[in-house]
Amino acid sequence: MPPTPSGVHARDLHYTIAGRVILNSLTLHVDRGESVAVTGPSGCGKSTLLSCLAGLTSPDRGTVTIDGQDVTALAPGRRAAVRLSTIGMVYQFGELLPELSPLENVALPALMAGAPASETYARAESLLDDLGVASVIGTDCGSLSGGERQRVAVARALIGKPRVILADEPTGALDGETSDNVADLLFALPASHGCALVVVTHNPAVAARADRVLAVRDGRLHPVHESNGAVNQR
Amino acid sequence: MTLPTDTTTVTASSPARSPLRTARGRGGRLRVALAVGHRAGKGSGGGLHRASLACAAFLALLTLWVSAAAHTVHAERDHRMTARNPVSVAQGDTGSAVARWWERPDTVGDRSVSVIFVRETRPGTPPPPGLDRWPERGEAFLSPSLVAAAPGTERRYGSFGGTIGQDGLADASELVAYVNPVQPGFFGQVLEPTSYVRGFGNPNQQLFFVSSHQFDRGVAELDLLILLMAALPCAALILVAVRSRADTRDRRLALLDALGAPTRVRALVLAGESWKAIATGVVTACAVVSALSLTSPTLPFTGYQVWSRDLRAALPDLPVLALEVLVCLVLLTVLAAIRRPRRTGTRPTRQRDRTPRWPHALFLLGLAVAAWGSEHRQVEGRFGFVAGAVVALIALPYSASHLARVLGRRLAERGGAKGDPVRIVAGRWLAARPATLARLSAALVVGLGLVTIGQVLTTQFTGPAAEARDRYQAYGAALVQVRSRDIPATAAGFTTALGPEKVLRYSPEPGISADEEPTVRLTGPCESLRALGQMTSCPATPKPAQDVFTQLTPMGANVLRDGDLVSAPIASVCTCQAPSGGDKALYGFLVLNSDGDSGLNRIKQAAYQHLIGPMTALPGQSWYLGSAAQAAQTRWLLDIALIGLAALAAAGALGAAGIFLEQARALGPLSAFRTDRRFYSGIAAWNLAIPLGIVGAAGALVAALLGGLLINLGKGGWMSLPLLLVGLVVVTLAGAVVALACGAVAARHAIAWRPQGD
Repeated sequence: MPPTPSGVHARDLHYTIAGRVILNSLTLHVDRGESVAVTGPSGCGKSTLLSCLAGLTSPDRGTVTIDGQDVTALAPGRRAAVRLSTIGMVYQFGELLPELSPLENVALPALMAGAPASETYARAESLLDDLGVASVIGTDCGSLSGGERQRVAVARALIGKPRVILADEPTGALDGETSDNVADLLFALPASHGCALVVVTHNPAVAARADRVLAVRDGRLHPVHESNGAVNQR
Repeated sequence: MTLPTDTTTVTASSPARSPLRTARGRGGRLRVALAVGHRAGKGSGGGLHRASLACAAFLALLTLWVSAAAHTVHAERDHRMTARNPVSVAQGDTGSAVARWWERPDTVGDRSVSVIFVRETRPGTPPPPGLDRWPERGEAFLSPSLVAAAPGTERRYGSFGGTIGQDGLADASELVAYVNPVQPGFFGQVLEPTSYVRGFGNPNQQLFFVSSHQFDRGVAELDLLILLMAALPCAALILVAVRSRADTRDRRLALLDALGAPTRVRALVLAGESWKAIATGVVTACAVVSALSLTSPTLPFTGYQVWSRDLRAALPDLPVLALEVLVCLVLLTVLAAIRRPRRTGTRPTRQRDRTPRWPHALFLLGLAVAAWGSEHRQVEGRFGFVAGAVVALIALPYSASHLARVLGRRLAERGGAKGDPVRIVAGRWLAARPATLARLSAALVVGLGLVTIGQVLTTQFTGPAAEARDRYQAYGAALVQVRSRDIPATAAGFTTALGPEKVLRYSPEPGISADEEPTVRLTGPCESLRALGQMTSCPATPKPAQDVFTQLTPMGANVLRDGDLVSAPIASVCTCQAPSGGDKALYGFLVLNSDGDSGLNRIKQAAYQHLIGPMTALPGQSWYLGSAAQAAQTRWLLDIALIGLAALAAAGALGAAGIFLEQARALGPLSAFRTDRRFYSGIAAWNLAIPLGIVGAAGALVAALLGGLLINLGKGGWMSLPLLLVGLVVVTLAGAVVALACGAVAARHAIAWRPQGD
């Protein structure tokens, strides 16, 4: 199937480190409105794949296209600009700046992109409200629970209206119920915000929410199943 | 999964590849723990910690060695002074004397010279230490510094026989001359019993002759100076260094603790992380000190030269001191971090620096007490000033941290309103961790205060010295007072050598009974007397000065009114023969000198050739010399403060950089969006450079205020506004440099940052 201009598309990715092949001719296409979960054992290359998709790591070979733009051909500064305008990222521990309020944490990427302050804060408040954490807007980030922190992190990922969301073990540090809540929230984003979602996870219950589940093995992606139970052929 | 860059991960992942699995026995485990610590210390952020430790070790060892070397130099100096000190014969036993030895003072520029008249009376007597032979009659041996002090000094005391060796000098800068007078009967006029000597090597401190070296204070005073101005700042640097990048280390220790590592193992890991950096600083200091010991370095500010032989005598102390610094710093590093963490998790949490408000009050109280002391003066006033100034300087950085917190909040609010992410981050960091600024200001503002106060103290001595110099340079150098023994018998030769028209003599006024106040008569040719004022006529017979002169020149007023150039009030003036008889202490010459320093040198040369133990003086000279000597001693403050200021600057800069870079790690996710140096430099500028500039300005004001209060205390002195401005610029530039460096490092970290969730 030919690559579509929107979403995230990786073709023939190769990545080797210290003589160890991490990615080997890996190909992935995720359209906007679609979600993909990437699973696999520790050290199989899931996070490396995510870093390549985000343009944080340059593959040895292959291309990554985000919303029609080949990020592998860009200089590091331009790749950062693409991330700022196109990609939202969610990390395992939320990775908020502890000195800033949740509202400031959410607003920060948009302000870095040059968005108007009043508009940005209004949108940040609205996102926090939508994600059920409006009550923590003025509190101290250090006092947030794990679930609250991840919701704030998701709001931060959404503030720039990204076309692609990349999440690296977003529920890895959360307990069962909180994990379910955050996972539900994330996998609802492609439908509600029209973005492509790639989630790296160990958790089969979280992965099962995705439209497609792929496993990294021998440096390549192998389909596990689609949400309807059929084997993924893409 | 990306490779781990965080030290926590390094440690956690190390055992799989480390020798832990193969370690056998206690020694093996010890080596493994040390190796794990060393490897962990090489992780991200370890560079700054290592640099801080190395810097602290370097300055700590340097300070200790300076103290040890000062003791050794002092001891060596005392040893040489004892060796050259004459041993007088017993009272009345002049027959057993082997030599004559008589010391008289002289001057070169603003420094005193010891002129030792010596003569061997028994052949075969060993010469004084530092001389390879006794000087011949009319010959002089001079210290190298005296030869170099001014042109013409070589021939001032007679023919130049050579220089005095190091064994005969207290230190390199000493101005000493051993002179065998040309007159055969010279020592017949020397009546002091102590001039009959039976050898050298007298430990009696009372008999030490006036030494012209530049630090005559006890070594205990030097120790106190080193403690206050170098050791305390070094202690501050050590405290900063052992806790630099502590967050990373604390997390690692928390992880080890969670894994069940006993205290011993955690201590060894800490030691393994720190010992090489500390050893690097120690070895570097040893190399620098050893290299210095091979030379005879001249100290800045004082110009004091320390002989290589004295420094080499202190080298045996160096290994012990080096080992002490190494062990103590490793121990301190371990003790500062080994406590069991209160937090149970390894996840980073927000740290708060709570700054209480009481330092504000303490700072104001200190200023108030200093102001009271400055106004009150007296002993309690001076004590109050010193106590108040110390309290204000100590409290100032804490007040600065409160100011920084307020400043940070305002900055973040302003940034938020303007939508400026740089100011939001910088402001929130500043508000959350004002200690960053407190440390920088502690280092730099306290340094400014010390320099200002030191400058005022120094100029309290140099100020009067400059005034005295002005006084004798204005007209005093044109008139030289010369006194000596047995002037009636020796005056003719001296007067002829210089020219009678240039010489005035004063002698005891005849006919004064022992009950009356002594007075003198001034005699000389008309040409000489005219230099003192306009005369009605040339008095051939003694007349009161007011009858002779209608109007006095400044020189005449100095001689006839001020009276400090003659030994008693002048009762009469005449061109007649000078009287003889009366008190020999009242005799003297006033020599007119129109040739400046070269003329002065000629006068001294003639005096040493024709007179018995001459002493020359210029108007205001004794006061000037005393002030200059004191000023020279206070310059030692600056020499010692140099180490302290370096330690404070390093403590401030390294401490602030450490905290900034620790914070910058939290920017990781944002670095996915911005990797340009400008963004991070902007944060560093708002977080460090600009607040530091503001605090620096406030600190300069406080320093100026304290300096003004010290001047008001009554001893005068002055402080230089340009110097304060330079200090402020240095503070601001230091902040800018630290900000630029931190911005560059943060940007580099940003580019290298990768998510580590897996």
